[in-house]
Amino acid sequence: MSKDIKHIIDSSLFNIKVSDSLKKNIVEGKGVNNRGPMFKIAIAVCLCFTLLLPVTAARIPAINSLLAIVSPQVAQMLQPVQLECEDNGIKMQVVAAMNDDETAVVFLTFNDIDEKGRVDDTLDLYNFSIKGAKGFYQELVDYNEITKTATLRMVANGGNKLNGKKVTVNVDSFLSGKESYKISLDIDLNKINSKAETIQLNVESTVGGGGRILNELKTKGAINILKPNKSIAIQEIEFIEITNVGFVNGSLHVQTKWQDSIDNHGFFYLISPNGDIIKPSNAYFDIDDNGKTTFGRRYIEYAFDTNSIDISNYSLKGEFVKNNNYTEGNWQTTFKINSVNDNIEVFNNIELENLKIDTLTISPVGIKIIGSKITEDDIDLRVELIDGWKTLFSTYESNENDKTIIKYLSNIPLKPNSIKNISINGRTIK
Amino acid sequence: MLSTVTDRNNQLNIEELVDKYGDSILRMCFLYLKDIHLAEDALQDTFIRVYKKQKQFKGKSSQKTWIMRIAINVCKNYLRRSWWKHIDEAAVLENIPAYQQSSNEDLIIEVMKLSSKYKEVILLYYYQGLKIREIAQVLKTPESTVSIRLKRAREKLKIKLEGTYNT
Repeated sequence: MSKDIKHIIDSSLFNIKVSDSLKKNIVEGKGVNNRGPMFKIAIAVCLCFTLLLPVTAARIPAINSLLAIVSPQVAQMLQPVQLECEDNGIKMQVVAAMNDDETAVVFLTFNDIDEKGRVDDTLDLYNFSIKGAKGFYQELVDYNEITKTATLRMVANGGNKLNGKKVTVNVDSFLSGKESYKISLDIDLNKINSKAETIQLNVESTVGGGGRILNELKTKGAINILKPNKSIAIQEIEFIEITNVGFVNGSLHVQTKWQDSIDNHGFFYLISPNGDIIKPSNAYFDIDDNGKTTFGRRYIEYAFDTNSIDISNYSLKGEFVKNNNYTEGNWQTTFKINSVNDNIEVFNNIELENLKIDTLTISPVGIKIIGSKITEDDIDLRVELIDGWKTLFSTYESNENDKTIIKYLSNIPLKPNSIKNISINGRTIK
Repeated sequence: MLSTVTDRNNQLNIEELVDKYGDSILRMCFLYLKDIHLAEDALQDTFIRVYKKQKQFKGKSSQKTWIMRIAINVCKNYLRRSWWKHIDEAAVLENIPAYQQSSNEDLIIEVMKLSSKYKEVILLYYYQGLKIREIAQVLKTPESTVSIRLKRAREKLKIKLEGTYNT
């Protein structure tokens, strides 16, 4: 493996090498030119930096709207921010936020002020970040049909002493107009050619895939796949074309060709009247002008393990998501909030079997564990609230000064007095 | 000028070191930071620190181990202070000038996706060819921890690549 990895990295990244100018800078002892992403963003963003204006929640319509969406527990913890910026006819507003030292939770809204219908109930941020944090996700929590306002919750982890620091939310692009389809394909599996025409797919031509067919390809170096000699359209799904269906070595194969897109996706499966589902393995590749396989990802060969089933009991279905809008812009706001530190409880020096935890901190945002030589895999953390068990989610692991920090997030604020029991690996901590 | 302080004074010849380790450190920084410009800055910072700290180098580890330690620490500092974006590793690769897509792209992407602690042991062991003992010196971590991380990192790559590579 060592030779493999070294060779692969060197050959794949052979264009990454020390240029003459870089070498000259190094040899001449020139310092770096402070060219971080922060710098790049600073020159690229729309000029909508604003300082935080302390406001009273009750006076702000946007805050009131948000309070109607989130739970009362969350509402208690939120600090109004109420900053907005506009680009490409889209207004982004950071309505409110809460954070502890390493996690920020931000609620933001989007409106299409040009009324082009680009903001809807499928809005999904595509390229976004929160400065100073290392990992995050976002989800749509509400869409108001009347005001055409989408409200999102963005969570960022891995920050460092975020308390009192300026927080910058940056969005570069988003998706919307998504349509989901669940389609029964009009293909009679009983009439499928049991000996379909095939071509050879070599391992060098695949960019990946998953499951049996890919493993077989990797092991054998080449496998037979369907010859792409058909063009079967899928109703309403214009970005996929079925280029052949047939049996190869007793397995049902379905071959598809995909148009380039941003985030159009889908999958196929066989289903029986009883609801038994067979999912396929798959391999990605491309076809050149001569009809030979070549390296790429436009084509997907799906292979269903159908040797041990009665295919006449199954039908072929697919589920697809079509993304209709991809909107780019520069939306950025910078604000400052104080951590929710008044509701923190800390436990020190927790000794467990084969495990030592330096500190366990409960904050409204979640639970943070710090220790040496610990990993997320070693820890089974369970939390029981006064009103029942609570599943924490979205763990985030980082390292600092030889210590591992693991953060477990909660979607409702955790207050020490609302927690009945915390256990790690079966041992009660609180 | 760093390189003018030559071996006459028993000091490091930075130019030689750049020739010897520059490309591999730059590639390692790129895989670590997922940004070619940051990687170039990190390489520059690494050699500036090598120059400044050369008197602190007591020869307790090999020169390579010492330089890798500085490079890894520079990368860690960059990660701490830098933006972290919702990065599409494949897009990062596509943005390399004249990058050629290859069947090995999956491995590069999966290495980039590893968390720092797993990525650094994979890069130091398999790419830089350091021994477990040397990696422990680089990371100031017990050898047993390095071994465990290496094992887990291998497992993660294996799971991600589903047998694509002989891990």
